Amino acid sequence: MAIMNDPVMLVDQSLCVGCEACTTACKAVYGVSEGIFRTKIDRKDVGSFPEVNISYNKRACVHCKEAACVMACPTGACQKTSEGFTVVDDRLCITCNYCVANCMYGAIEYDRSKRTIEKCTFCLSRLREGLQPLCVEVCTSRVISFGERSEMLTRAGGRLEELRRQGYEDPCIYGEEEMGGLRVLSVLTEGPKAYGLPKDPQIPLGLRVWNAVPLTPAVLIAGGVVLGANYLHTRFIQRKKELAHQPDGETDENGGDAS
Amino acid sequence: MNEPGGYNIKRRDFLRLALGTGLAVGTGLPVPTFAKAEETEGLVEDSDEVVPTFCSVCSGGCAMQAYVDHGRLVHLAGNPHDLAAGDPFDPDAGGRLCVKGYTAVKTLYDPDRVKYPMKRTNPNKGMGEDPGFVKISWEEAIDLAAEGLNDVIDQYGPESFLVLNRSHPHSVRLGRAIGTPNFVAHQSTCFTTQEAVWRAMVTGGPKPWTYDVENCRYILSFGWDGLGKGKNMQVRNTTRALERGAKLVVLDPYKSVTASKAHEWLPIEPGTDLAFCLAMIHVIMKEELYNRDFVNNYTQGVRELDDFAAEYTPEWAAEITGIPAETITRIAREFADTEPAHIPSHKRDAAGPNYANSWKLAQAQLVLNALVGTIDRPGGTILSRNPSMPGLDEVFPPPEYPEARPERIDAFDRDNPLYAGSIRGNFATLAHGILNEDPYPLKAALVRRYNTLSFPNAVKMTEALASLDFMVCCEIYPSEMAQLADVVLPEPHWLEISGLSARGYHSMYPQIAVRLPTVDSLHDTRGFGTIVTQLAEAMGYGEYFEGVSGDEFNDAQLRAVGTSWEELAGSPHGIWEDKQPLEPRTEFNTPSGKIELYSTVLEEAGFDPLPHWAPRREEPSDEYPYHFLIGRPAMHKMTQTQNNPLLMEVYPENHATMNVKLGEELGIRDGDEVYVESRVGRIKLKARLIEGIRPDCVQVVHGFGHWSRDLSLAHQAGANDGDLIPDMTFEEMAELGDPGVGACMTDFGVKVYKA
Repeated sequence: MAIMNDPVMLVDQSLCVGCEACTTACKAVYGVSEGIFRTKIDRKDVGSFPEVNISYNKRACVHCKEAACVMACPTGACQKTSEGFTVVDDRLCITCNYCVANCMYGAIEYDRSKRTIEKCTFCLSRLREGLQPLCVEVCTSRVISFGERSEMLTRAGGRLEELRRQGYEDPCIYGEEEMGGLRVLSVLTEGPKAYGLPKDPQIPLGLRVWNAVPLTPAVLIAGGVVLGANYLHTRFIQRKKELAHQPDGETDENGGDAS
Repeated sequence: MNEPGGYNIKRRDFLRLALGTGLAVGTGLPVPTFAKAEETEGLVEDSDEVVPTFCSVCSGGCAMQAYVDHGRLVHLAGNPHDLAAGDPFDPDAGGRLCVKGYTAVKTLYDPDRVKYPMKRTNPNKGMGEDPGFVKISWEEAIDLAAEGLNDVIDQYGPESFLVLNRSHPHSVRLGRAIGTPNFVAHQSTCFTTQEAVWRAMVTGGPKPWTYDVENCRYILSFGWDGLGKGKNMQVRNTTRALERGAKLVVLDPYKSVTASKAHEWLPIEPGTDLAFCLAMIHVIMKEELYNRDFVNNYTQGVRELDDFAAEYTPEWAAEITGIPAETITRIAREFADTEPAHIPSHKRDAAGPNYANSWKLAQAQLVLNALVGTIDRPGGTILSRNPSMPGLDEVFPPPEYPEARPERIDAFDRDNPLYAGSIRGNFATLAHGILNEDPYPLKAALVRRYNTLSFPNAVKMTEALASLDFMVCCEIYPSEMAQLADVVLPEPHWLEISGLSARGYHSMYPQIAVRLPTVDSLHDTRGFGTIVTQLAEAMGYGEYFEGVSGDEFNDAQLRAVGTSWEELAGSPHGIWEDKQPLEPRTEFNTPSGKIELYSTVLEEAGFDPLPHWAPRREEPSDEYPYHFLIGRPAMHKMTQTQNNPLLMEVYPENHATMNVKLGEELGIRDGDEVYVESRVGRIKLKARLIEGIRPDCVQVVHGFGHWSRDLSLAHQAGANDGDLIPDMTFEEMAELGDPGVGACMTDFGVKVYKA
């Protein structure tokens, strides 16, 4: 089934109660390993007694339009689907963790036990069946909605108006512009900092350079030569070390070099 | 339907893959696995069948849809046609559950569950004592249990037998047949402070549990944490109200989740909420801000109230509560001027059995809600609209019961006509009764699904239960209670059985949900009704259960409302309902037929008819200088969920939560191990330092500190708040003069120091 045009998730963080219903339902249905999360609620406390502000942020992949993880991925495993969702193809993934390190939302995790990268898929298989993402359907407080971007933006705009009327000075929508536009928009009662979200996030220059490297055969050959040289060099060093450590024929029982 | 997992790699990606693979080989990372992509993951809707059931994590009874695939339960969803879990007027909006409901699947499949009947081989009982359980057959288990209970009853009399569980018609019948007055349940630690005043002033019966918060414009909370406890209907209600622009004001020494969403948080001095409410009544009476129509037509006692409230000025309350008089006056005016306004109160908030004056707070809150006209009116607390169904005794009338001694082992209803002959009970006095044989020896118990950790002074209660000659425990878990038992009888999980629910919370009109087994029985278990029936037969009380059948009972209950088991079990949504709009009550079940602001029932029963100010019982002292607070997170239900891997992952242990400043003062850092000590005990747990709590308070979340080694995840996670809560003698209970017999769960001081 075709997915709607420009589908977006709207998380009204101003009303999220941090109950972790989404977190646990997602883990159970997708069989995510212990200690690993595709989505997780982060609580952030700001201020000092009695002026304390406590906020909850649903930390999961926001499917950036300009995705640092996709740019960082050396194998193309971390990729954009035709619908614009960021997914990791396990078949291509070498678990180098560059995507984990480069995600500015802390939304990608490495599952050591399964040797896979875990991240939110936006429940793509559900979407393709005409269903909503699971977290939208399980949210106890019903503050996650799903629909076309324009519809979600209208809804978010209405919430901003209501929050202002209630006396919130600086409510905002997060994700409209960030990283070229996110597929997960958030309604916040105040600036992103209070929610632990990056303000005006940018793709690091290094990553842009890496991504701009023209991967022509010539560059690949050059790269191969460098790697090959590195490999030979490493072996050379290793042999020298081994020789240096075995003058009496003793072996290290731990199988490692203690020095 | 699903796309086959084909390779679709562009040239550039291929090159990157080649390079990446090369990198991986060169650096020792794993090469791509080429595993098949999971294209169908997450599609619980593809399951073989959807079975209707309802949740029994809490008493709310949300209707559920269970997705079962190849005989295995894969997912639970809220039934969109249910009042609690969905919106029957807009089922397309979908059903929801709470985090505890969704994760109940893990409890069903918990490998630590009791899988077969067991008997104890180690005669020594107590904390840390291995019971040496061995597997026995059901036949042997029932015989052993019957013999053990009968031996005690023969020697010490019928009153030496205790039924310790949430009221269940079968165990009540067995207890009555034996002739014991001792049906002890947990309510004095839970809601009797509120129930007693509702009974006296409004309902003549139980407290209603339906709050139409959704339509409320001004929600005033005294420690009520509807958002933080995570109850499905309350979370939905309250978030909808906020979405629609309701104002939320929260008084709570701890910045709860509800407080974190509030427009105003007032960290009030613990145990002084009554003074705040009395001053509100003062302002509303003095300025004549009350809802004239409602008060004149549906209440009685407004004149007495006027005289009563004169002395409780906002200035007086400011001294006690630490909240400025202007703030109290402003909130009183806002509360009276915004329609509808309401003070919701659900169990363990400030009006729950926390302080000696909590029942008066419940009374004052009821008065305030009546003054603004939100009792059984939109936006307020809605009286029960549960369907009327016959009880077990009506369907299967029992033979005559023997006369039981009137005095109980917990003295729960002593000098209290409101609870005379009740099957509720007092957890705070039970240890005193058993250990002192006051008023007689109690030597045997039939226990179901209660945990020793839930009692005030849990260590003493454990000693009391360990001192029994014989205990039978019906459980799904090898809990702390089970560790003290002589015979453990395993029950099925509620996801394995059939049943009916007339619904607990959020009953806006009559609805009944059906429960069918979602999966085949996983273990050698028997339902509680069956266990009690078989036990009764083996004990010689079989005549009381002759012809009693659970299936027939269910069917008779449904026929009383015009349907049948067959019809409901086969219905598309598993729900029977009598959909009707809210028709506000104009008569109430009191002597005057009105809401009695001046309660003649309380007066008659020997209690204060008006909520005159009284302080809490124990102020913090030099020795125990900090207020003690108890918390309840959304992720846990009392002591029942600490072996659930998903819930433990998101909420693994409890802490001594205190203000950063208090930590600094005491040289305690976040994460340090500390002792929290009260006059009856101490516990060791990690400190958690936050800003959202008064610097003179220490809060501990309930449910942790399991010592049963058979609970692999729960064992030794965190500590038990119950070890700190003082229990009571009968005299101490009597001195409180509380019609709700509250257990004073936080009415004491604690000290904290580094472990």
